[in-house]
Amino acid sequence: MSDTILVRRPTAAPAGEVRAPVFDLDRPIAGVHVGIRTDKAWRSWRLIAQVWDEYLRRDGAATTLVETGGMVGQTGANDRKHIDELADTVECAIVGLGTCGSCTTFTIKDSVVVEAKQKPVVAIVTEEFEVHGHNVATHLGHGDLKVLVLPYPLEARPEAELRAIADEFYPRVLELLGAAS
Amino acid sequence: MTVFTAEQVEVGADPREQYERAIAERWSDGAPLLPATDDAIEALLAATPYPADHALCVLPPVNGVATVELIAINAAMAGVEPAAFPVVIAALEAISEPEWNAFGLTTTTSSVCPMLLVNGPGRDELGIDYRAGCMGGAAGRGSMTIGRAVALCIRNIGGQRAGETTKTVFGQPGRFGFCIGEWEERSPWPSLAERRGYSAQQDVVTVHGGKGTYPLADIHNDDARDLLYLIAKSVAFPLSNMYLGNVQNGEVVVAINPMWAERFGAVFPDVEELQGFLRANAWQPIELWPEPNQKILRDKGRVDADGRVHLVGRPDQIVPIVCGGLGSLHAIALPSFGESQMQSHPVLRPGSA
Amino acid sequence: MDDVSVAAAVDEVGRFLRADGADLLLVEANPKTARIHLRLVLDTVGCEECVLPPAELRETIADSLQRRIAGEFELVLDDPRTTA
Repeated sequence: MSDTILVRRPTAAPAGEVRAPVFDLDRPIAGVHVGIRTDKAWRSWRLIAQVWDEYLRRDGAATTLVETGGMVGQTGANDRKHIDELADTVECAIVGLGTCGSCTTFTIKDSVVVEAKQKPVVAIVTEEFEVHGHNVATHLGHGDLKVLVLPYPLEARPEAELRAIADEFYPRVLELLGAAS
Repeated sequence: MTVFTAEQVEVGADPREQYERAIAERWSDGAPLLPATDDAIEALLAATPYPADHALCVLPPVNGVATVELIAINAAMAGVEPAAFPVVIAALEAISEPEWNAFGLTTTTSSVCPMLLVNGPGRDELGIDYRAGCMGGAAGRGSMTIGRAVALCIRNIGGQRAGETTKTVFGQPGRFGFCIGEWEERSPWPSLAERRGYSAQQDVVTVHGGKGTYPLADIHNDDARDLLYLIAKSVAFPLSNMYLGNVQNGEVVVAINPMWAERFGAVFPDVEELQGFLRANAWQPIELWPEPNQKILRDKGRVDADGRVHLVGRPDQIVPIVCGGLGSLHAIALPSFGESQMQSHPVLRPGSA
Repeated sequence: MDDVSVAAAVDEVGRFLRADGADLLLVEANPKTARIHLRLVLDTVGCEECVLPPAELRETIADSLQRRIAGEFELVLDDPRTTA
């Protein structure tokens, strides 16, 4: 009697190594139409995005802000439609915030919508969710998606700290967008 | 004879060797599994109208393609009987509906799991638990193996691994598998499946994106309205996920024991009126929350003119089902992740229309 | 909970009632609802006071049946002394 048997492997083949291309502005931010996606769930990110919005306009960019708040239902459907419209309208985008499991997943998902339209995009996640963000991007075939990592935890920080973080990371977001000096 | 595409692997015939190998290969949820031999898989494939190579869905987080063959392999490992395999298929079809939000639920920090609720005449034959101990301890073969098979598919095909591809902080015991039925014969209302548009003659799986079991008990009061009021206040607990997102999304399932159901049905023979009563009372005063949380709730528009924060926007978001034993005294809430809508799918067998 | 075992259990439990001239009839045993519906018959009882009081009788019958029938069930007992 054989002391081995044959069974079938239960796992799916890993997703292919397709990595969609990433894009850079390759020009100064002045005159660029920038989209910023905020999230109703995260007041910290809304504040940082507000600061960046002011700085972008100060630096000559035009901005469009879209706020998301749902994943399913009519709200979710509206949000995905607004992201799609934003991706069509702007020349580049900043998409946040990934600071929980599902919101990181949706931040990356919405970022991919922009990148799939061949536009520069930076996904904003907090440190605890950096690996998760990269994993989700990889599984969606956009493993090289640009991700800017903010400190964690972020949400409960006082306004002064959040403004300081916004100041500190603004140059980096321009760099990742490929905005030349 | 099926032409398998899954790799064939040689493992020790000894069950203990198989257990160790499954752990080493990372197929395992930590508990022993049955060997997925070709004959076991074939028996399951014969019980579904779908061909083995049919790509039923894509399962996140890693977006693995769930062919019927791969699902059968995982179901064989879980010990699913052929007659129960179509229930596994139906559950995965429901999970892969976009509005269930598998993408979010498989990656969230939250303690979420697919909670399978089964209706239909097949419950007894399949060993679906819906009486005493239905949420743990009744040990019906259908309940234990179907729930586990779905969980194994999410693990092995979807690639959900705690600490790796999902950010879940605590996980959930239901991630081992959660599958119960409704005690339709003891319900004064139409079954969950009937309320969702299916016939009482159909076997239907409804998958709820739930956060486990939240126990409720009262030994003092027999009044139906009083008990329902207390249930409503209990499910509207302040750290519910349903205050974090959109008030129109998500459902709370309230599992009512048959003795209370009879009492509630006498006062609310119309289930929609029952749901309306629950919804109307499922709120907390804004003052319950600390000031920073109050501000956020106000910013989100969750506070009404009377200073009340309602758990849900509509009565149908509170979903009563009847199950459990005859000891009375208890109800169980299955709170929701929030950003997920429960999805139903009929169980299809060979020859189904 | 099947018809045969329930009928046998009810018959056995009814024996001590028949000693006093009363009887216990099985109205319905429904495995789908797990309800056992019994009727206490006192028409031919010689001494009604000899029959246990309603609450005590119900508990005695429930205990006796529980020992003979596997699984949970709900006992519905029509007792003419409480329905009169």
